[in-house]
Amino acid sequence: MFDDDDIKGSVMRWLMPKLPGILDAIGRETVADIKARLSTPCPAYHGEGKHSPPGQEPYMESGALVHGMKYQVEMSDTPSVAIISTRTWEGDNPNVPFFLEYGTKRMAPRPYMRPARNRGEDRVPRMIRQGLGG
Amino acid sequence: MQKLLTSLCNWFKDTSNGMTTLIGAAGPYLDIAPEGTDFPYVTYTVIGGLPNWQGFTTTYVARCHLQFTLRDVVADTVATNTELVASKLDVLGSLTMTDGELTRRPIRIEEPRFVAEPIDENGQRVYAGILEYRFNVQRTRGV
Repeated sequence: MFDDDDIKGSVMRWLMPKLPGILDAIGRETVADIKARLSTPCPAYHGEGKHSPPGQEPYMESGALVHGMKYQVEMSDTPSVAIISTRTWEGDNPNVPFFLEYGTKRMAPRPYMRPARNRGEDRVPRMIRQGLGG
Repeated sequence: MQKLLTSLCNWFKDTSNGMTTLIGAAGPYLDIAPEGTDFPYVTYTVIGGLPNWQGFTTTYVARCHLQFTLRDVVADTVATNTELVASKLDVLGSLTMTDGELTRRPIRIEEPRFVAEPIDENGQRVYAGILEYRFNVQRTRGV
C-alpha cells in the first residue's frame, strides 16, 4: 500500500527534473511572442500617425522596450516560476513601460504584457503537456 | 463587445448604483478622457488576447478583459472611489444587454493598483486606481 506522501514524493521526483525546462520554454516563447508584437515599426516616418491605436501594443520607436524584454526562471521550494519582465535602457524614464501598459492622464493604455498573459492561457497548458511528454 | 460596453456605461450612469458623481460629466470614457475633463472620472480600456470559448452547440462564450481607471487629484478620493467601484462590480451578478444576452458574474483579475503620475514641474500629481475584470458573455451563434 502507498500513502499520500509516497505518491507525492514519487510524482515530485518525476516532475522536478522536467520543471526547469518547461518553465524555460514558457518564458522563452512568451518573450518571443511579446517581442514580435512590439516590433512593428513606428510609421511616423512614412507620414502616417505616430502612435499605435489605443488598447494595442505600442509601435517600436527607440526599441528600448522590445530589447528590454526578458525572462528569468526561479526554482524554489515555494512555487517555481518563470518571471517575464521588461526594463528600459539607462537614461530612459523607468516608468515608461508601466505607463504604456496602464496609460496615463494624457495617454491611452497600450497594453503589451496582459494580452500576452491572456494568449498564454492556451499556449502554456500545451507547453506543459509537451514538456511532460504527453 | 459594443453591447457589453454600452451596458457597462449605462450601469455606471444608473443613479441607483451611486457612482454618477465619480465617473465624470460624460463618463465613463473609452481609453482616455477629453482634455480638461473635471476630476474625478473613470476611463475603461479593452485588453486583448482572450480567445472566445467555442462550443459544439449554438452557444458560445465571448470573453472580454477590461481595465477601469479612476483618476483624481486627491489620493484618498481615488482610494475610496476604487473601493466603491470594486465592491459594486464584485457583486454584480449579471448585466442584461440590449438584445437580452447576459453576462456572467465578472471576475476580478488583480487586486487594485494605485499609481501617482506627475503632471507638472510644481509637483502636482494625478492619482489613478486601476481595476481589472473579465466579463463572460453567453452568446448565440448565428444559425
